[in-house]
Amino acid sequence: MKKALTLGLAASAVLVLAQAQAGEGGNNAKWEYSGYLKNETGLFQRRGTVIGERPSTTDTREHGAGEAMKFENSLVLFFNGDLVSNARLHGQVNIVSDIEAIDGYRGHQSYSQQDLLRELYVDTKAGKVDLRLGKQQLVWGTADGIKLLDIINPTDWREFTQNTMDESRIPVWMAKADVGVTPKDNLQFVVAQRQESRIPGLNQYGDKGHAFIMKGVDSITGPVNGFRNIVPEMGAISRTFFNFAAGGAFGGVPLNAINYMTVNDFATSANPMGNGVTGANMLNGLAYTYPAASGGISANTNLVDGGTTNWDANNPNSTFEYMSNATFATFDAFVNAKTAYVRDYPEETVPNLGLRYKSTLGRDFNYSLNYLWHYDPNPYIDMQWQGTSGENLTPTTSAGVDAFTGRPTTTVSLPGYGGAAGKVPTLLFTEKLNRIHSMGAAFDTSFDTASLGPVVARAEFLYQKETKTPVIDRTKLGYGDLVGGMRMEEADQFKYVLGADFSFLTNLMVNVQFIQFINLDYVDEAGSNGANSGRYTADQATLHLSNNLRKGAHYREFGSLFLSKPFGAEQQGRVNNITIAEESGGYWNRFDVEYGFTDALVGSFEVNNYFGNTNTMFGQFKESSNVQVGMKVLF
Amino acid sequence: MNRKSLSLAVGLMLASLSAWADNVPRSLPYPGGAPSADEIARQVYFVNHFYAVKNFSIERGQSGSITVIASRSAGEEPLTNTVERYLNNEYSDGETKAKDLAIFRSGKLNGTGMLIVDFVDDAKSQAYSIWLPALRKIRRFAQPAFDDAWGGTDFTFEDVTLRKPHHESHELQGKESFNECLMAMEIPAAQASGNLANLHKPACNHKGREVYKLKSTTKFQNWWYDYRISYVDTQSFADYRTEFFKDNKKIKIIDRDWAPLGLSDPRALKWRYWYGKNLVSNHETMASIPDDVVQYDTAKDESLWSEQTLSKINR
Repeated sequence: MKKALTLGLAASAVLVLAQAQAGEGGNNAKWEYSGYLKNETGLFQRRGTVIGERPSTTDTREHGAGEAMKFENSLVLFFNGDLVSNARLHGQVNIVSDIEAIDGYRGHQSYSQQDLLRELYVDTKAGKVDLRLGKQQLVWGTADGIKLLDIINPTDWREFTQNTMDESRIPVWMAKADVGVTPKDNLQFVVAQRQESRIPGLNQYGDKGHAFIMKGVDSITGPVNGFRNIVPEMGAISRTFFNFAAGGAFGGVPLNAINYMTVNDFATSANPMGNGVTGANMLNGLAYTYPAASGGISANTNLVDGGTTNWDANNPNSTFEYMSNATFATFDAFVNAKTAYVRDYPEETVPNLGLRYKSTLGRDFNYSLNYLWHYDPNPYIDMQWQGTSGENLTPTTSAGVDAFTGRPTTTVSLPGYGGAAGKVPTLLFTEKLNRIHSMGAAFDTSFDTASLGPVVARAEFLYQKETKTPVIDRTKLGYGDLVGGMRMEEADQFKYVLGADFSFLTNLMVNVQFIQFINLDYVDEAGSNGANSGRYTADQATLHLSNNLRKGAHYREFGSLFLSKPFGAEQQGRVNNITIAEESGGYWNRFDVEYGFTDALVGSFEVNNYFGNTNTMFGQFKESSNVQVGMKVLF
Repeated sequence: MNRKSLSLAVGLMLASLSAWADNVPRSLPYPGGAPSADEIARQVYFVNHFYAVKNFSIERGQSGSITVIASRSAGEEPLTNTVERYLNNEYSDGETKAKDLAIFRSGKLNGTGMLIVDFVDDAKSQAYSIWLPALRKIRRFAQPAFDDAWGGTDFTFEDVTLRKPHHESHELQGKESFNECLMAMEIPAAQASGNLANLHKPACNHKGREVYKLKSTTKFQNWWYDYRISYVDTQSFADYRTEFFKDNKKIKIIDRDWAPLGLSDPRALKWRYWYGKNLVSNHETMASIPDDVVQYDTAKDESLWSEQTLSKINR
């Protein structure tokens, strides 16, 4: 269906072209071509390991300072042609090769910033209506460097926010109609193909080694900390304990009946299996140290955090520590468990629909009112247990009593499974898109001040209804209910940006912005059973086993400062610096210089530094800090 | 937030808004008798704003010719940009004085567009809306500082657009004959290709014209110049040359080659080129406008001067 819609839109564009050609014979068409050849070479700034790079907990690989992260060569060609007096075709072709990129990111990717056919559209007019039909970008809003109303096109996050908006925005097939109601009032209607954003790591392959995988994504598909990979190893070690129990290791009690001992009981016990070995040592040995021949599984994932003295369920940083209240009977349900990752996207019969009203108040107070009914381009993940035949399994819970502490226990079961021959439960990760309503407004204006001279003020506001945000139920996760413990739930969001521009000194432009995100359905319910209890909205970008599945902020603030100044006798150079700070101590600083050596030869240099709290949106990319050098030949 | 080329884009605007006087109306009559220094300044402002016509544009010629802006340091090869520009003076809403649209067509600025709105209220700063290809959106910018360099050229924003008559006091120093050719950028034969192939040669057709010698002294403190001398045609009020002085030393010259549009009003003129030279650094700038790119009093729809036009610019 997606192909059908794309083809339909393409056919519409071609039809317009054909009619135009028929009307004019194409004899008067004037074609213009331009473009550039570009090389961009990126190097890691410092020695380290990017998120999700290591394939196992015991792996020690690092990239070196100065090691290449990018060697991208591209040929970009623009072409424009007048078909008839009122129809003009524009196209952009991209041929890209990045030999330092990981598989899947080295060349052409449909609907990405490396799409071979980036744009192809026709501008025409039907009466008073301006039409743009075809594959294109459309931008709403007034904010700098942040996308609130700029949501019609999805985004390619392959370099997070380092790429220019023009490059990172993913063009989609679209019909846009602008009507000038009055000289000041403009109505815009948009019918656009729905397409998802490209988020490194958020796919069935996991993109191991990609430099810009967020911790939140690593928690899903990461080789060490992603539940996609953790669960099968949990299934393997569950099988080990199942076999131990079947062999009489727990006094002849089968695993599915051990609802009186939790992971924490076992790990903190001095001799849980009567063999003189501490529980922590046993757990560590079975998960890491012992090969299969010795009953271990030599796990690669973060089941336990290594060592025999690191067990601390009050400060969890490994899977079993988060599941410290899970009974051994619960692990019976996980025996031989597998995972699968699929996409379940809606048909494209319902496109994204948008409406914008834009006008001016007084002399120059420009404002817009915007509405978009669309699929949120940022996918979300649903988890569901499935049986051997693909049937959905509904976990059940049963109560018990902890023989060690006397507290009640909760055991999770998958009815009909649990070590039964031929029964393999699969935790299915389903990538989905959610249809939401986005309503917003933007304005910009300028005014004169005595002390600062002319000032431009701008703002952007966005209310989004029924977005999906992660809610972590640590109580459920604690007793082993993975699906109930990590859910995407609906929440309304309100976001806004306030910004202003000033000019200082000579040619120095200064822009400051204040940004706030408010989760209107924020969840924060305290638990009564230590760290592994309670329920809260998690930070989607950074929640991770290493940071206590980080709680999100009800009110989240950012500030940005942008400085820009030309240099050189002909101002052939420009130096820019942007700093973005998060309220919880994460920072991104980008310093860049562009210099035109000749009319056709432009060089660039940029330094991207991520620093501060490594559990923040920007700070998490500390090890991805980089230097990039570029050269562009225009033609 | 990529605005690497912003200043250049703003700076290379071939603005006609080289303000000389307070709120000069389009209806300003041609002066009778001997005009005062202030009146001459107002007439020069009228000429520079093309108030004799409803709209004025420098477009792409049928032959593909286009306005070229070239800048170079002493001994270096010039850097160039090409531009189209559309000026509209016909507003009657009581708020808008003029709108100026520029679209850059080459180099790293290719596809950048700018819409400047000048208001009737002289105290109100101009509004700058710029289409930035790197963002694919229109962004508002604050009016630049008066002494900001105009995109690497030898013109400041004050020279080009921001100077108002009340920023200076004017003194008429008499009449004289303008007996020199205007200066122009000389391009060595080896470099005379592409955008540099057809720059105008030094104009000598104004030699012998009678001009007013107008001294204008800035009212700004510690400014980059103390005063300037302008040579203004006594009939058309074309300002052929302006010399800038600091500490009684000549520091900069701007020459403008004008040609008549052929209308009844002698003040209806078009530019052929601007030339500027910094006499301290020997840096030069030239904006060369081919004759066949000039259009005026066309039936262009007012909607051309809108953000909608900016958003339709393609690279």
